[in-house]
Amino acid sequence: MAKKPYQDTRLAKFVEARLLELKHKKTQAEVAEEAGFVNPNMLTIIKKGSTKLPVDRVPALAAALDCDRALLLRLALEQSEGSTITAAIYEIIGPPITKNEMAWIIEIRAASGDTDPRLTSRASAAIRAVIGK
Amino acid sequence: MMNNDKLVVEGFKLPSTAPITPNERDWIDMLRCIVGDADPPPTLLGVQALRRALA
Repeated sequence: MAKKPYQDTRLAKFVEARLLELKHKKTQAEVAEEAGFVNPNMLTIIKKGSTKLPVDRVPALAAALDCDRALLLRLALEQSEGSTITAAIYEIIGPPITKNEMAWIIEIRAASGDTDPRLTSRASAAIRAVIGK
Repeated sequence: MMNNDKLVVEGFKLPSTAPITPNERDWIDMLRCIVGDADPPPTLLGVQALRRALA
């Protein structure tokens, strides 16, 4: 069977995983409807990697999947533009930061007294030991 | 819109809401490497580890 063009993208895997997590709350057809997809099979097509998620659909799908829109935007850009162009976009306008990531930044600012600390290997190891489990 | 000046109590300072810096981007990149696509919020244990590391 021919390989689907977006089958191995992080977005396809993320959408599939998120739909599974939401399974007890709403059906895939309900998510598709909430996201404004006319074709209820669109999510199947996206999660199988047959097509990419249009970037203009990110806000609606993020709301329907109950996930952070910045996270979904990152994955959608990566899928549609590729990592090189995505990196260039981030270089110019900065990467989209999720609400949870901003919460981490606020904690880092509070813990450091707003001194803009550099990431050290000690700090990295300490964080990895706690949240990398 | 909330006026932060009104929320400041003498002796306390609200965390800055400034745009993220290159150093902070490094922190975010590190977090993303650890958690993949999970996007977890700060936890008590995580914040405690952070504070120890930055102490």
